[in-house]
Amino acid sequence: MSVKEESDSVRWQIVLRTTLLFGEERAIANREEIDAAAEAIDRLKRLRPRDFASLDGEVRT
Amino acid sequence: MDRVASTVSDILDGIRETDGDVQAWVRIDEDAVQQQAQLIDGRLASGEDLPLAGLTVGIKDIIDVGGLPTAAGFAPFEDCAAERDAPVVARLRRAGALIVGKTVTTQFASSDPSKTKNPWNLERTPGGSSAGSAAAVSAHHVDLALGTQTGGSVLRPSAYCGIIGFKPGFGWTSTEGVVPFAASLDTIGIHSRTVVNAARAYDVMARPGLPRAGTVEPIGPPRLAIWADALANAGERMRDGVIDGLEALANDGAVIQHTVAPISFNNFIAIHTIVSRSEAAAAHAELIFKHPDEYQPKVRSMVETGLALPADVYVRAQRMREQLRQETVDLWSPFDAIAIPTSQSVAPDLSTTGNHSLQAVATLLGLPSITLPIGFNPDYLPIGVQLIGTHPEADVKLLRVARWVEQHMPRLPRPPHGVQQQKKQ
Repeated sequence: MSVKEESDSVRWQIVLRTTLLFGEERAIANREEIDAAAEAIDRLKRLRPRDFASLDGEVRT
Repeated sequence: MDRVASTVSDILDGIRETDGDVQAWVRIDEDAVQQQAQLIDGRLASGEDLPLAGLTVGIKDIIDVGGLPTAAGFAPFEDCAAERDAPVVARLRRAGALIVGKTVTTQFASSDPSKTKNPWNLERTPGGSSAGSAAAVSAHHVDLALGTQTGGSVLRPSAYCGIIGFKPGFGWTSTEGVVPFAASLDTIGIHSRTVVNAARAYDVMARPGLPRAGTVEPIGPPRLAIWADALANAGERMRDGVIDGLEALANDGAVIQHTVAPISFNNFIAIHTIVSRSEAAAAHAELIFKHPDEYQPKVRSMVETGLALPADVYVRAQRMREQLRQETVDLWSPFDAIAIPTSQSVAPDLSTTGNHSLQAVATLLGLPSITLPIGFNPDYLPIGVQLIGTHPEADVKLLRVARWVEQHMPRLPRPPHGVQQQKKQ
């Protein structure tokens, strides 16, 4: 998955969860916050904490 | 002996005269203030040593004061009086401080603008979230006020209002009796007009085991470092103003060098975004479903989005944060403090409380930070310089460095929309 696709996917997951919890209207109202959160997650995922225990694809495949 | 009681009517008159414009206060119980003052006078007369005798204090309306509601800017909380003082308030009271009342907060100490105006210009924000606390100190309504900082809510309003704002290191005092927003970030802070008064209040409130500031002997000339990546986040005029201020300090002997951080400034902010939203969601997980329409737009959006974030990113953010704290302390330890602009710009208009980015890194890392006024922009709005301590428990050292800086900066006059005359002593 490209970086852009992954980033879009993170954003889409947050939109879906927001819609499930609060409805579509709120997902639209929260667009700015959702964009900021998705961008933050994208940045975070490029930072790798030392000794972070995860079974991500880069390590195991 | 009515040393304190005799000042009360002047204090309350001053607030009445100017708070119609500034709107810093939610509630002042005038009878209770008078009774407190008489009590303090009685304690002084009986020979008690009261380190804060008669110092007037405002309390941000997310911190409990016994008998008064803690509304947090949220209508459903307006009728719920706190049973007792939060420990920080109790400590101030025990030390002889005169608790004047509750100051305006943005809703849940978040970023929707409040009704409070900036005493330097009524068309400008005092910042947030500790809007009323900063404005009340700036307007000379009180000597001190308590605020809280989760992103930049003590330092930014203090800078916008031309006063000192001190956020000690994380965990310096109890946050019991404080409406939470993001538990691993929320820190009580002090607004004041002098470093000495901030230190006096710190000494009374700090948890046992932490060093005390005492007479706040200045450390100087200090060795300060500019963090260029953060400096670049400020507007050009703000950058120039702060650089001019630091050059003036260098002329007085301060050593000004440059430093870096383990990751980019924007990556720090990304981690703060994830931690603050996730923890705000945890704090509001039930309330948001009970009273969704009572929430103001920005805080509602923040909480709802936080509830939609996956848990793994929060865990990863916290791990990264822990690692960065140590790496940053290692990098910055050769310096007495890091110097950057407190805010991106001077106080903006009333549609916003301003941007928290420049204040949020110290909050994220749990490092102490303090803002001091260093002058004005051409529109006569205050500019603040932020000093960040280089160790989480360097509160006292930072106060002592700030004292040296304060002694080498011109003192700001009173703002045009504050109390103009000296109160009687």
